[in-house]
Amino acid sequence: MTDTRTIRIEALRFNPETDSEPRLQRYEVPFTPDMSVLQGLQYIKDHLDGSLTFRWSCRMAVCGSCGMMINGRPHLSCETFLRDLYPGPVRVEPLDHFPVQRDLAIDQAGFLDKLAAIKPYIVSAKERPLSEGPSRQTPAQLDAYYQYSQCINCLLCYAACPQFGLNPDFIGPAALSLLHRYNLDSRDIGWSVRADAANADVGVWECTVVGYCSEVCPKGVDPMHAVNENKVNSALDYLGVKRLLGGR
Amino acid sequence: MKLKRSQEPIFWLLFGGGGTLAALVGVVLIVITGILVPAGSLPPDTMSFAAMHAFAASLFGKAAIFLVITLLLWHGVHRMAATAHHIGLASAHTAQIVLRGFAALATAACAYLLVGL
Repeated sequence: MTDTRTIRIEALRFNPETDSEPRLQRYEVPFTPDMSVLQGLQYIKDHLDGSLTFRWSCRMAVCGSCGMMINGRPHLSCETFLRDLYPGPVRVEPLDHFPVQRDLAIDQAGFLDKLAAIKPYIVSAKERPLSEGPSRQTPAQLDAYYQYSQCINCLLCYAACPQFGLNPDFIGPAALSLLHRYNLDSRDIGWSVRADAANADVGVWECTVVGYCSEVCPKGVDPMHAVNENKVNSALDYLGVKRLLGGR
Repeated sequence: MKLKRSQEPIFWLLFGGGGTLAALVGVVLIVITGILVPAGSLPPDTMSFAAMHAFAASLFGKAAIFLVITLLLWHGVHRMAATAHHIGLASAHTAQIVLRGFAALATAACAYLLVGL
């Protein structure tokens, strides 16, 4: 094809079981204008080096599996295009601040524990029988939490967060956004269910409002705003006036 | 996960109070004391010793001076501690102890001086 060009992809290689330190490996990758960085990596795996390890699933910015550092910035590799990075080189590395399992695949276990800690599901005051039909919400009730429900757990915000880099126990931007998402849902009991996580020293108070999380989010979620709102909630809770002044 | 309640709300509320006060009166104070009075746009005795002393000796004056000085100070040290932490000058903990210690001493000194006036 006439519009095929070649770009160099430099991928971080690391197997913690056998390697003492990570190294960069260079690949010359032919690409067409419609190819993403993820497709470049798939070309490498299919044609150049089957041992290169990375995660992916949906190829369309929905599943949140393919996040990685691309030229030093957290991106979803499926929606970052090689044509925009030409003439390169393109450096791909695993997401910052996470332990590496193999090459570009990071260990998500710590995040999954935090996600569980914020109870990422609707907790209702009473069980609702199926016979009552669907829970209805007004457009305003949906708007209250809709933005935060767009989170796909891709972890770009954790790679962007310097506080998470310094303290891996920090519950962090995505989990705190989801905490806010469920607290704001009219079907949920709200604040009291997740107050312990928000109030904790590793909860909202670890954040120093750098705001890079909100910049890198591929889904338009604003974790910094969620954290700020919950600093207000947590401060009211600390003073014992959350019920009086803080609404839900 | 181990979740320990943070004591940070105390300092964050002081920070927030100072920020609100700075936005409401900080600029006004700068304009009056830094521009209008030195430029002679206000009556010459606006900030004379007698006028300032009378203001500081009144109960309202004492409260206003105490709140403006101390809350703006707590606001400032909160930002400075975060900055020291961000640029790697000190750990968040060390920066907080040093700067909040300073703010606490200055708050006590301010109260002492105002009460004695």
